[in-house]
Amino acid sequence: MSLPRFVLRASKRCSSMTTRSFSVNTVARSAAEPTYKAPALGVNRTYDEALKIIAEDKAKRLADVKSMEAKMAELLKAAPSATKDAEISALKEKIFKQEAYAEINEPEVQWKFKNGQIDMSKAVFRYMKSKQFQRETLPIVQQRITQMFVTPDLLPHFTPSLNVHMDFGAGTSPNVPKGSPASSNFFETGSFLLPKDTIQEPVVDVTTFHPDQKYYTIALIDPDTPDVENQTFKQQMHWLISNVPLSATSTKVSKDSSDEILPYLPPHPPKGTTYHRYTLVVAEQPNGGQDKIEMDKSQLSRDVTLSALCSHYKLDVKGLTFFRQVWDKDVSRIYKEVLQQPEPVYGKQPKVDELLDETGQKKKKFVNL
Amino acid sequence: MSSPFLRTTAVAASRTLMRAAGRPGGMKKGGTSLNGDARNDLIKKVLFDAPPRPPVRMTPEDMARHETIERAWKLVRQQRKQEQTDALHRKFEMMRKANAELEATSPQLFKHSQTKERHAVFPRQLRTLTDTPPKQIWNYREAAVATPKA
Repeated sequence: MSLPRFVLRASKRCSSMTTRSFSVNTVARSAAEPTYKAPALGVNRTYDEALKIIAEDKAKRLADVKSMEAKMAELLKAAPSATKDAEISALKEKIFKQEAYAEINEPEVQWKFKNGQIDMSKAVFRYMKSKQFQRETLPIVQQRITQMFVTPDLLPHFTPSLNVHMDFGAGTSPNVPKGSPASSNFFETGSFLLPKDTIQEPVVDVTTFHPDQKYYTIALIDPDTPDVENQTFKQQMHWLISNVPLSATSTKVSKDSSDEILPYLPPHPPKGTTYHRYTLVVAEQPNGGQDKIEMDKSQLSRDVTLSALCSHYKLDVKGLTFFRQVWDKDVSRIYKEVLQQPEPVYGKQPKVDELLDETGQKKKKFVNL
Repeated sequence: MSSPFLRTTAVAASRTLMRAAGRPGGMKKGGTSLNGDARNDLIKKVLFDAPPRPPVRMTPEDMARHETIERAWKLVRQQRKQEQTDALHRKFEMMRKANAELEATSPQLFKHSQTKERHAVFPRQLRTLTDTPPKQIWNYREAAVATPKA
């Protein structure tokens, strides 16, 4: 038994080597633009039959969408009533789901989603992306938020409905090895980053799942700044941008199309404190994100709290992500070069030795009366 | 060990060996097996010596076909389920309508139709449910002969 086994193993190794070189060639050829190639018909009869079933279902669902759109047009024309808005939003949701279900079973759509050729203007991809977010990202974000007490410290209980990413450039993510491609600067919510990597402001990428444009306010907050006077912690606003237009197709936050209220202040966790949670909050502006807001730059300081901001401007927090940082030698450099102020050092109160007097001398045991 | 032929040959070889050993307690001389029964060794060989089954490998194209088929099959199951629930809803709605009509026409009949029999029990004449049918099949002819006509 042992001899044929050995022979086979050797032959297999040879074959695997040849296939590996072949696959490298194919990747290099198709790296520019992989296009979908439909599997040939007539090879697997079950597959052909499956395609027929899927096409039938699609036609049925599209007809349903058409009838629902007609109903929608009627509803929009109708006189305003108490339930009209609720009906319209419910019908919109139905149409969106039916459009997504109509195409989700197609092999081409599945292939495109797997290969990252995602067109967010289409209902299918928006649906698939939101499902992926709920399945993969949301549990992690919620776990970190609750475990690291972001929710009671910064916000009351809430569930994120947007996917927020910060990108500090290549090689800054703790999980990704340095040689990997530039697109993988992704770090998990709650990771520890180094202060030297976060001196430059990040590229913020917010994946929303609505096709229409809405305005958002984005803030980077540190809830762990020590407050010595009150013996507690206070919030510090590191970055504040308002009127950021976002939709499913435009996910990047650019300063040209929005108002930067407070410029980016690099995170600088002072010496003697435990880790700081630098939290990027994305909040929807009033009237369902349709209204722009005017923030007064002169009145807003870096001490403003998130809850005050939300209640004053009627903001609704929809998504967040955060990273953690601790003191490091580079923080001293940040204080010196960027902030240009003396570096504070925090610690416990020095112990008072009852046996020593103010000059540090030993107290006299007996006093000559 | 990915060749399927090797596995079949190995299994076939051990099967012939098995047949040769045949009887219980065969090949007792020089056997070191459990209880001196050579068949135990053979059974072990058949069970564990055969090379493992090779994993099913599919080309990407076949994989795509397979996934599409799975999705379509899921769709069919969903459609069937939907049809069933729709039918049940329709039946329930008809029942509700009929009841409402009966209540409107004759409240007494409606009340009678809605009350259950108080001491109703499961019918005792029914045959007891068993996992398997009886070994002895009921012979109707014999029964007819055996029972004297009254």
